[in-house]
Amino acid sequence: MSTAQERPNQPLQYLNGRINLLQLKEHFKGTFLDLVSSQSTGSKALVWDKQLLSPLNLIVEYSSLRERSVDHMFHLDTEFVVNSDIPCYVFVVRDDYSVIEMLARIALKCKSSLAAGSMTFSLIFIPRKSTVGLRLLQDLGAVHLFKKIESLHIDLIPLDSDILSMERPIDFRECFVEELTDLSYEVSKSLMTLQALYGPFPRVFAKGRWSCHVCDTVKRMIRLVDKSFTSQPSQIDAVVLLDRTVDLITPLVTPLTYEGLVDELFGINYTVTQLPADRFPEDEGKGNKQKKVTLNSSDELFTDLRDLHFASVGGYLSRRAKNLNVVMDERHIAQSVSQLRVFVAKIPHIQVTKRSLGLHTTLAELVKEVIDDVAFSELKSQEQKFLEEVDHDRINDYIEKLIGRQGDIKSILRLICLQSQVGNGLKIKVFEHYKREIIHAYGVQHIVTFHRLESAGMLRIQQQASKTYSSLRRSLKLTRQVDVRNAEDIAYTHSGYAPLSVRLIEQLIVKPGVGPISWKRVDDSVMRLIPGPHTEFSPRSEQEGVDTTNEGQKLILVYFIGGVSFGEISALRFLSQTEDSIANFIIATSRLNNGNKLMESMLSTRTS
Amino acid sequence: MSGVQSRVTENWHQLGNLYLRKFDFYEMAWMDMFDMDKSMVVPAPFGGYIAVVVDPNRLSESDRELGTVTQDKIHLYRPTGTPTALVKWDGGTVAGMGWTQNEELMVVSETGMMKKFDLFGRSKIQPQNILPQGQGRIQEVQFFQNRYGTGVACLTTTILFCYCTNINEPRMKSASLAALPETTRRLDCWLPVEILDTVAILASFNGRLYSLTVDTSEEIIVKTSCPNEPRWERMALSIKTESTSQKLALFNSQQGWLWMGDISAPHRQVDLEVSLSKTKRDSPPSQICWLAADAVAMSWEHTLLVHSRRGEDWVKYTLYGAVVLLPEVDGIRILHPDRHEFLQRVSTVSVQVFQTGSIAPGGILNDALKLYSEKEGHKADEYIRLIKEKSETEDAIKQCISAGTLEIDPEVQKSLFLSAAFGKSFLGGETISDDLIKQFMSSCKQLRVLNNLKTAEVSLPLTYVQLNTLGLPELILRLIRRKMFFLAHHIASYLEIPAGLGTHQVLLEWASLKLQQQEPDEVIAQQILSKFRDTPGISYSYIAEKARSVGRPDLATLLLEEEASASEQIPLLLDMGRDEIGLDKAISSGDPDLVYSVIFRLQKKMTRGDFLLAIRNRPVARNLYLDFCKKQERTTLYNLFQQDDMFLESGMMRVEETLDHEIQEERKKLLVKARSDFQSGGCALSISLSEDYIRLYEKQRELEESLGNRFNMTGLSVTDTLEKCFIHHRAKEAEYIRKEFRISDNQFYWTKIKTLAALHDWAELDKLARSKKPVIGYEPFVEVCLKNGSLGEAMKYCQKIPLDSRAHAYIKCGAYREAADVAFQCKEIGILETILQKCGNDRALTEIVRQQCEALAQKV
Repeated sequence: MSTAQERPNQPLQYLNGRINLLQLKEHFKGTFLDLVSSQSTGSKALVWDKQLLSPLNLIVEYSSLRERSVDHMFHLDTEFVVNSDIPCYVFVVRDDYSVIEMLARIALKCKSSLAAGSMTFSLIFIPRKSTVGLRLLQDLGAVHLFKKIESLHIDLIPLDSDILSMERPIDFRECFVEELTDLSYEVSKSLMTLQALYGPFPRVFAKGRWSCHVCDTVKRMIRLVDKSFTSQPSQIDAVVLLDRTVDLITPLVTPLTYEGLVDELFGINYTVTQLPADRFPEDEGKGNKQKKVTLNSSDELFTDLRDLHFASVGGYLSRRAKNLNVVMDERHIAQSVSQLRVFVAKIPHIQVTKRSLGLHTTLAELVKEVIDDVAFSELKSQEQKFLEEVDHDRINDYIEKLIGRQGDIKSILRLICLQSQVGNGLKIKVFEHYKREIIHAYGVQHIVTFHRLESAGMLRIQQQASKTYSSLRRSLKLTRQVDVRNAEDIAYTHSGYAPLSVRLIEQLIVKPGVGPISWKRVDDSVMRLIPGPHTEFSPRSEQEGVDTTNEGQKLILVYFIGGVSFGEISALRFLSQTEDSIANFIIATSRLNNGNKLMESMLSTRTS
Repeated sequence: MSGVQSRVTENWHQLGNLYLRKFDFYEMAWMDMFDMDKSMVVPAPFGGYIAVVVDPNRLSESDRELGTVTQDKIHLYRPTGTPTALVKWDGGTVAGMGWTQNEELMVVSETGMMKKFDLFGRSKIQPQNILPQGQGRIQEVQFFQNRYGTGVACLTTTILFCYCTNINEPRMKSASLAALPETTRRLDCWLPVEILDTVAILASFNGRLYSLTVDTSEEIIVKTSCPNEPRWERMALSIKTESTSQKLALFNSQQGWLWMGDISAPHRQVDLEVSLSKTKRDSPPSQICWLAADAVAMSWEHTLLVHSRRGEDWVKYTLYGAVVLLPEVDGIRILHPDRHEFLQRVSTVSVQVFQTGSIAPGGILNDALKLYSEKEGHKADEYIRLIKEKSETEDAIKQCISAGTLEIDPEVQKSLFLSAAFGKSFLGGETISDDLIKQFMSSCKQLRVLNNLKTAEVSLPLTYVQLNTLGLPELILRLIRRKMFFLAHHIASYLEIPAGLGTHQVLLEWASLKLQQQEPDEVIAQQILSKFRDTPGISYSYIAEKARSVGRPDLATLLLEEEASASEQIPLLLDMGRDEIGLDKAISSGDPDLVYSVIFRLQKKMTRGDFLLAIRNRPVARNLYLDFCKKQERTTLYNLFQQDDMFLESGMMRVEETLDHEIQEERKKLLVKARSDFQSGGCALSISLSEDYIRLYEKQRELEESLGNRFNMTGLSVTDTLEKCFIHHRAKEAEYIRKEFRISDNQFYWTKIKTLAALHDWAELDKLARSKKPVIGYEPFVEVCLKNGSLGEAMKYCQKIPLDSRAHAYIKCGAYREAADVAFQCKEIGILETILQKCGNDRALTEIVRQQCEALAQKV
């Protein structure tokens, strides 16, 4: 949104065809612009909560704000100063304690001009204003200084043609540690928004406590909407809601897909990753240390690459490079004018491909440097050992070594949690040893970190020997030998480990079975071993009937409450691309997560 | 079918370039029930009820002799003339009656008492006095619609006008005619009128016209060519519509002078685009009113005269007795003793369609179908061609549809819609627009409804134009007022009226009535809920609130139980003192904001103890409240922890809070508190760990002091502190820390070698490696040497690493040759392959490694 910041201008290619998630974006954009213009007809300034810049950037362009007389843009931070020449300020903020305090300070400073009406302040909360926030604003004596205080319900942001995410920073923790209902309510609301746009869901499946809770809330909300709601045609055939706690293993394991690795190593936030600029010669002299690169399906090459196992990436890139050369050489053999015209028409595409090839070749090199390092292979092989239940019941030398090195605490915790997950808890001696070692090495505050991990069930003290993981591993074939270059199973995504969550969906939806999709299709024992209750219901009223005879591929929305990893997304895409696949997937989530982000959110931090 | 056309046109009467037509709605059932001559008959517009009361002023001497005439009963009749209700009137002589927009009957007595009644004759509010003191009695009353609602205006015997613009808030204003000579106490005629934004009284006196308000009295000059200044004995205003300006008509019987024109407010002057006609009579008409804005109708005892606004043309109808005229938006209702008639101007589109020889597309289309049904196929085809050539098919269809809606006879309606449908099949190249289809469908539906409303059972006789002026939601309200809930519900869903104005409203009003029945709460709740069940989105809280207001709180609770919208349900529950149920409802709504709003309300309302008790057993509410306290009310948070024995949470909060402080002493204080929390909670490991750090803080302070105060050790962990000891060569302290905190060998050695390597103290490192076999092995030695830039040192330690893992160490050092040899020795073909990839351009090395690979492969 900031004028200075480089914007990914090209619109996303919404390739899926079956459904247009752009509609959701347009819906948000329309509501946002209407709300902004309703604040004042004249010239106005928008003041942005910095945390909202990235998401809103994906929704609305600066130019359309200009059309609504937004002549100035500012960031809301400690340096922000009100300019008395601007008559109308619109603050676009989250409902956050520190943000509201800042707002109150600013408003109180301008008290006299606000009271005199020579200047107006209005407030737009995203995704909504809360009782608590308004109360705070009132306690601070500033609530009356704002002409209007409104909510703008932007929740799920379309990040790509098949991905919707709320990008809530502590989504997992607020749900599974602090047990707050905020997230599940937002999820319910977002499901209502989706149904309003894409028709009611014929069927909803839920596994996990919060997912079931969302079902209850959605049922209630449906009772409140007009009858006409259920008469719209359904574009989405079914929804599967999953708690992150259904599968706590997958986010801990490092994925080996291209996008998964880029995310693990460089981080992808709102589709943007930041890379060392010195590796991009064309960017030299710009003086930036970091180069921002947008990764989404508008990049054709990236669309092909993102889900590949990294081992195949190099080969693919060189094949594409060769292809490109062949195409370029056509200009030499083009003789007639018409042949030349055909070639010229290809030029823009060639240029785009060339640029993209350059980018991804560099990016792949960057990734390769890291994963070729012994440290990475050691990590991977340790993960693999745990997943195959090798030596998971004692203090692990590799973890010891990592602690000794005082490496990144997040990756150590990931391994400890993984060990706990596959062993259905750690023996008390092992647990206490790890805890003591970590706290000695990293500080006393991690008593809290451990407490959180325990509350979420990521880390446990073994109560009694149980074989949960072993049984699941066997019945869901979680680990298996795969040829990563020639993937035949979703296990390719993690070099021999198939994400449990996606296996469950495979069982529910893809597995050839008799009768309509239902939890009954999944083995009883599996359903029992995976924690949390399950339920299913139909938001369409009964007399409408459920159309289960839908021809062709079904469109399934999989909603992960508490985050989803790129490895899982790739696995789901793989499922819809197999030859006899009966389903296409859209993914919705509270956050695109990986193990590091997940651990980050659990770490003990300053409290104020 | 062929008869239709003549049937339609045979009762058309030409009036200049217009046509008038008259048809019967009903034969009146009231035929012998009263004498119209001697009664005050006040019908409500839009086919409403008719109020009738004996008018003593019109009774003859003989009538009076027959018995005492009292006005103690006002009869309400349906538009069919069927009596439907009786109003008991005890206010004395009735000065006037009228209807409000909401179909309430207003009755004003001579003494100024005004009362309001509903359609069932029940009094709705306390009577009000609208007559200012000392103004005698009320002579005449007129009710009028204006922007503020229904108004009332009265003329008193003292020649004072008092009026108000909204009878629901009667703040009476008075207006008098200052110019009135004292001697004459008689006005010729008067009207309340709304010109622009102002309500005024238009009064005619002695040939002059005045506009009166509270503080102004203005003469309005009427431009007239009448030789003698005429005294205007009658006046009428046309009904305001959006398309036409409001018209005024004035009449003088002696001269037979009818004046018609615009009320043009800006100049307060009457514009003179008039048509005058000589219609000499002995007496003024008993009623005068506008027929839409096209003509003026006047009734005498035996004559109804309709005079066009645009020329000298007039039509005369013979009457057989007294009638009552009621102007509607599209015509005039005429109530006879035996009939309920409607007189209207034939609309342009109907003329186009039905007039013989019409060349309008609708007319041609209608004729084409007629020919077709008479087996004159080729002629019909010609007609159709005529329309198609001009691409007027769509217009033709539209005209037929419009004309159809304006007909009252279902047979005629049908024939026109058949014509429209017939035309649709010829659209061919032109595609049928969605609008046209919608228009066809909705017109059909509305006509079906209108025809049903007209039946004697319902007796709500409306025309299509009237219905659309009234609006569909208002129609539903009218049915509700008549307690025709079933029909109202049916029509609302048939016409797809938005639920809030349609089906929901019907059900809610029905339920409100149910509430007043004397049946047990459960029975009523059951009846209501069974009807509501299939209606998602209906407001249960609305009806619950009603139940509460009629004093049935238990019924209210039963109904509220079903309210799906927690945000509507909860405030009511809290108002009724059902606090905990309210909290539970908020929780089950899933909306955290709602939970907070209840929490904050309860916090204010309840004692602290009750409040805590209420949230203690509700984890959702408790967690949200804790989160709020964590962010905004830390002290309350700790109190809560204390009261609920949440020691672990309390300890955790304190531990995390240590990070907020930059001063070691503050951190320590918090940690001491945390430790005692952990002790109360019995968390052994956390106790010992926090104790470790409490002691560490002390040790760190000692160290800071001994190292000189430049060193700030705040935030350093046990291992970090150990590292500092090594860096500053405090071996004794390092050993102390190792023992005191029972540091594992792993950490101790790692820390030590890291520091030594960082200090480039290779000798000391070597000593450590030799002293005894380090528990962590030699790989870390290689690692720290490499990290600190000494390949030579690293290579040295590689040799000490056991053979099976030595190859990796060499690889780390980039010593591929050595690595290959070791791998070959260990027969690790996989490692050899990895090395092969790394050899790069070193051809000699590549060759060697390849040979080794082959050699190994052969052995296998």
